[in-house]
Amino acid sequence: MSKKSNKRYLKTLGDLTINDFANSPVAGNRVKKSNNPTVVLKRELDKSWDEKQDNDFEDDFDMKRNEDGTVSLAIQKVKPDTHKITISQRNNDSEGNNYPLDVWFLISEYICPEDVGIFGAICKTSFEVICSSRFWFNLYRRYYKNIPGLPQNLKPERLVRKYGLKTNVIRALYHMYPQFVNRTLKEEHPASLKNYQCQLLWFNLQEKNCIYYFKLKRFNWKSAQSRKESKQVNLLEILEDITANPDEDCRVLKVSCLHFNPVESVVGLTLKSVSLTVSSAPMFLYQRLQLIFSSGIGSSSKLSAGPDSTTVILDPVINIKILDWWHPLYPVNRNGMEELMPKD
Amino acid sequence: MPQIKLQSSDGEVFPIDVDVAKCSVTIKTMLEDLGMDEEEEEVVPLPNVNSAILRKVLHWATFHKDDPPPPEDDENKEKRTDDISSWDADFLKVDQGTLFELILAANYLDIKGLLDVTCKTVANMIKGKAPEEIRKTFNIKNDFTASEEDQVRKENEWCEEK
Repeated sequence: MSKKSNKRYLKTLGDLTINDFANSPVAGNRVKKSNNPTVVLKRELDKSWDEKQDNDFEDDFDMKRNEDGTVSLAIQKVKPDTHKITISQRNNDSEGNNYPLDVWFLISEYICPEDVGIFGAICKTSFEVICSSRFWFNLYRRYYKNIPGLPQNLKPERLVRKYGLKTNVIRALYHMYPQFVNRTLKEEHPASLKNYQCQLLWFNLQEKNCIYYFKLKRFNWKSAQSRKESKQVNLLEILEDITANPDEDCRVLKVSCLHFNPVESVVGLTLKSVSLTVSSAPMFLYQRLQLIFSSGIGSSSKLSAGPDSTTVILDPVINIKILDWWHPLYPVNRNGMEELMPKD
Repeated sequence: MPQIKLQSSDGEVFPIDVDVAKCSVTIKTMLEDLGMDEEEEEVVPLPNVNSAILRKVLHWATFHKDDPPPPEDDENKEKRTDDISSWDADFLKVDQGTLFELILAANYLDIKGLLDVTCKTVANMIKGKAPEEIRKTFNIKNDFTASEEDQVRKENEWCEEK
């Protein structure tokens, strides 16, 4: 490789490690570390019992044939210290230990719902545990309470399939687990919804008030990119997807008004500005909510309405609620499988 | 008191009261299934437990040998982690590697009480800590890239307090 092309090659390198270089297929004139028999042999010797297969233990026994034709097995006298390597000693390189999957599965049975995220973020093996259906079925069973108001689709008899299991268990926990229920009572300022894109807008006209719902989605460059890159997967794989969640990154802004306010359609537009002031309605009991939407994603937020923006004014406002997709009041499609069906 | 001998993976033999050894369902079943006579000088091989860990396990089992049998595990019940006895808490003041090995040994030997208490200890040590802090406590390798870590955090926003 010439110097020039070498430089160009180096420029394209991303998160490569020394290990990638050591086992690189480009250099053909040396044996890969992973194929080196000495290295493999050493690995075998260093194996701890939890990594061994059943037949790995065979060498630990001496087979003796008795006079009556029966075979007896005797344990070999193992030289002291050859097998005394503990997990910590075995993995004790400068970066730390790798504990086996079994350990993480056993510990996961004692992890409470609020620690699931932390548990999964420890290492890839612990993350693997929280990506398994076994973990989510177990978590659901441990915290299930037959409380009034639990939606039918979150009851044990309906929560049997893997598709969207994680999403459903999280939703159920926000109905059943007191610590999560308390969280849903907290108020949040709608300014936290800035730069969310409106997906859907509807209202519910009632006798004494009118409730507006803005379904907003946080724009996620990464997921948009991965959607673009993702290859077609088969239906069976989709049905096994425990993380399926059509409402991922979505929140609903629920605004209860004293009466109907005409609202222009803002679907597809991005929320750029939120202003919550006291309403001029009698007694100053209510609030006035002004939302400015504009097209374009990621552009800097504008405080005033421009020519390409749409302003929504809701006044007088009785109550504002921001509902995450896991909130018990989040308007959800109870079928949950319809996104798999043909669109036409 | 009848005794049996347990042999660790590194060849060390531990003579122990049968009652203590029977804290382990694995050993108890083995003795029952094989019909091993308690007076025989047979050695029970435990190829999955090294001597350092087996010594700790037997220490725990000796202390708890008179405990009533643990109740059947109810999968449909929230597991408490704040009910560790002071003796167990002191017993488990060991290095992180030993704690994880005790979990594996308790699982292999099927000693429910020890498995419970070791897992609870780790779960309590994880509680409310940042992942980086946990990795430091247990000397766990961080095998996530920065972007993967960010993605994991995002996927689990639902359990973060706002």
